[in-house]
Amino acid sequence: MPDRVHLRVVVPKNRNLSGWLYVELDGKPVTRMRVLARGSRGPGDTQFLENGNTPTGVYDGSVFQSTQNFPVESYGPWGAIRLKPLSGNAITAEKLFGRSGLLIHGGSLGGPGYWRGNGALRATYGCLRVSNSDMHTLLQLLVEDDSMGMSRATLPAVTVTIQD
Amino acid sequence: MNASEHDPKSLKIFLVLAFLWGVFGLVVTAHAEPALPLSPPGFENQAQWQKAVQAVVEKKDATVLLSILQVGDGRLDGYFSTNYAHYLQEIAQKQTELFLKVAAEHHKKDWKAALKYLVNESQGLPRNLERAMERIPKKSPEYSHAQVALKVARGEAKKLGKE
Repeated sequence: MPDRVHLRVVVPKNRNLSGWLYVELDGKPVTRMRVLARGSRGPGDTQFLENGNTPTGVYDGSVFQSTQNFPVESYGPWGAIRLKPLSGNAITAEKLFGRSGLLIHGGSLGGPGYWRGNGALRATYGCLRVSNSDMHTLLQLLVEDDSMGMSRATLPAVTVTIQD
Repeated sequence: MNASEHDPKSLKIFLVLAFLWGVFGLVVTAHAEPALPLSPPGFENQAQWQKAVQAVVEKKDATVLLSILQVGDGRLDGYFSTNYAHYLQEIAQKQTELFLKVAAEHHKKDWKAALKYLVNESQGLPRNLERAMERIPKKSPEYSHAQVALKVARGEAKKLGKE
């Protein structure tokens, strides 16, 4: 298990488009995966609005959240990483605008009629969404026991930076 | 010096230390990590929340449905919204008439908002929900509410992704 993990998320200003999540373990880049930081408040800059886009800034991501009892189509089976705001718009969004409950998680992809296209990452209520297979990859990189049944996992020190 | 007498200097030191201890305590408390609730407000845990949904779906419990709809009155964000939308969608699909009746009776605005949630999480208007709402008899008191709700939901669905 790595000691330090940095998840560097780079998303376009137009959040209708996907960005990249770069995984860096102990300072070394390991892999990257597609990520969507689009909320459900419609287009534009909605990061300070309830259910809006994921706010930019720095988060602590060291707490694992089991998704065993959560709807699998919304979260996927591989658990989630809680995002605790530390600085930047993230902390402003939390302290001044009351944003809460943001995670990194998977979930089913868009169907044929979905506005982002068939097979595209679906928008969330402010969380970062990756595909289920990428969430599994991420979990494998972060923990030793990545079985679906786990309700708790100890993550290393994970810092998540979101920039646009 | 008699033991019962107070030394003013010691007393001052004691007061300063007590003050500093108090300040330290306040700082520590302020930085204590608040526990993040995992279930929506008003529900102790996720299992209780699922049980409530089950009561509505299986037993058509209107009182429980009302308590669920009231959750939507409060602030919901991130996964709270996602879970709320998911269960509301389940109720709306399986008990459409009850859903419309209770929501419309108690707070008209609620179920419009509820449908907006459904449309956003489903990223469109779920076709089976749409069909269920269309099946509501014209003479039923829920019919007009269903029509308004459908209009709102369809409008919301159109807005998705538009610049």
